[in-house]
Amino acid sequence: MRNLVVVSLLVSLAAGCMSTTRVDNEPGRRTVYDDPSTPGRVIGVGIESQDIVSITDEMVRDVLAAPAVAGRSSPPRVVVDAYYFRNESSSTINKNLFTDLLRTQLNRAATGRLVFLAREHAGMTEKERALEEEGVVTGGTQGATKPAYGYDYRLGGRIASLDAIDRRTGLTSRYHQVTFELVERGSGVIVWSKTCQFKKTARDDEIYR
Amino acid sequence: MIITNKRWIWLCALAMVAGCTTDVREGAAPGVQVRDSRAPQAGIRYNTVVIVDKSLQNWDGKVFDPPWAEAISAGPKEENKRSKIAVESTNSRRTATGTLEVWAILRNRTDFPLQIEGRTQFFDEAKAPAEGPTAWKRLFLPPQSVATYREYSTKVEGIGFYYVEIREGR
Repeated sequence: MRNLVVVSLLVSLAAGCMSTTRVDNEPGRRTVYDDPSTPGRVIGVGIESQDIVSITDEMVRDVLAAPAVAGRSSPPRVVVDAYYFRNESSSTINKNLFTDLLRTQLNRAATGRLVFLAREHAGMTEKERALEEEGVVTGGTQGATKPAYGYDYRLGGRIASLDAIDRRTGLTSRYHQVTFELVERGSGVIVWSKTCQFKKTARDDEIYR
Repeated sequence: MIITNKRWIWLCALAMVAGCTTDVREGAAPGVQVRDSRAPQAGIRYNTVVIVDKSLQNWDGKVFDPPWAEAISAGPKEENKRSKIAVESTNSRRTATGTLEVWAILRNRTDFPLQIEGRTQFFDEAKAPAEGPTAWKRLFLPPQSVATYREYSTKVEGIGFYYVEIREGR
């Protein structure tokens, strides 16, 4: 009997000491914020934040790995804006979502390997130059205003789509092609290009604005 | 002293309570690293590919796999690997512009098409984070097929290590 008691006590002690990998494996606090790089709670067949984030990220890395663009001895001047980037798809999208993210990420990541021109803000610099010539304002700390730079490469591209709808089930399938190209000034040579394509199928009951 | 059944139960309960330790939750909790021989997969292994979704990489811990088995065979036994994805190889190299190209060759072990997503984090030679994680990149794997996940760093210098995470497509 005494042996049984001792063994029982030891077993009980061991059971109490039994350790586990104490992971609080529960979902986190609910919030209204979603990760823009992951599909959220509203999902459709259009272009969504995760598509913009992933496509732009892929383009940035591809441009910086392209010797014709990022491997030059003198950094090329580049214009990246939505002027020649067209949306011909059936998806409603603000094109600047692509081009602004592409430009800012490239500018930060390039660290001098590319020089970016603010052609979209050309009016801003022109107005300042005119005021300086009229003597209304002085030059900046770097002296008189320099003439605006011309670019070496400019972004062009297109968003295209193909829709298919099943009338019986209401399912919509949309194939997107998003093409980016860097075009050399004057010659028109395409020095870099890349296309991203994706296809989504769902009930087309989401509204994109 | 005669130990009755009732006393015996009380003694056992007391021993269990003694075995338990209680924490007093006061103050901020320090961030901790998990260094536990029972959790060998915890932590970051540089220059590797990890499967973060348990639905893709399900290690069956219930199968009899004593510690001495690893001494006579390299790693867990094949029948214990129940992952849907096999990482056939991974490596990196410099591109023509000096950025780091990382790739991983992945194989779908199932008879069903799989959609997976991968992202990479880059570290410098001191294993300090050099670039935030890339965006998740989608990859389609037909049944029993092989596909390559490929990613590039944006920095030219100072990239020493990478860490690829694979999850199920969302």
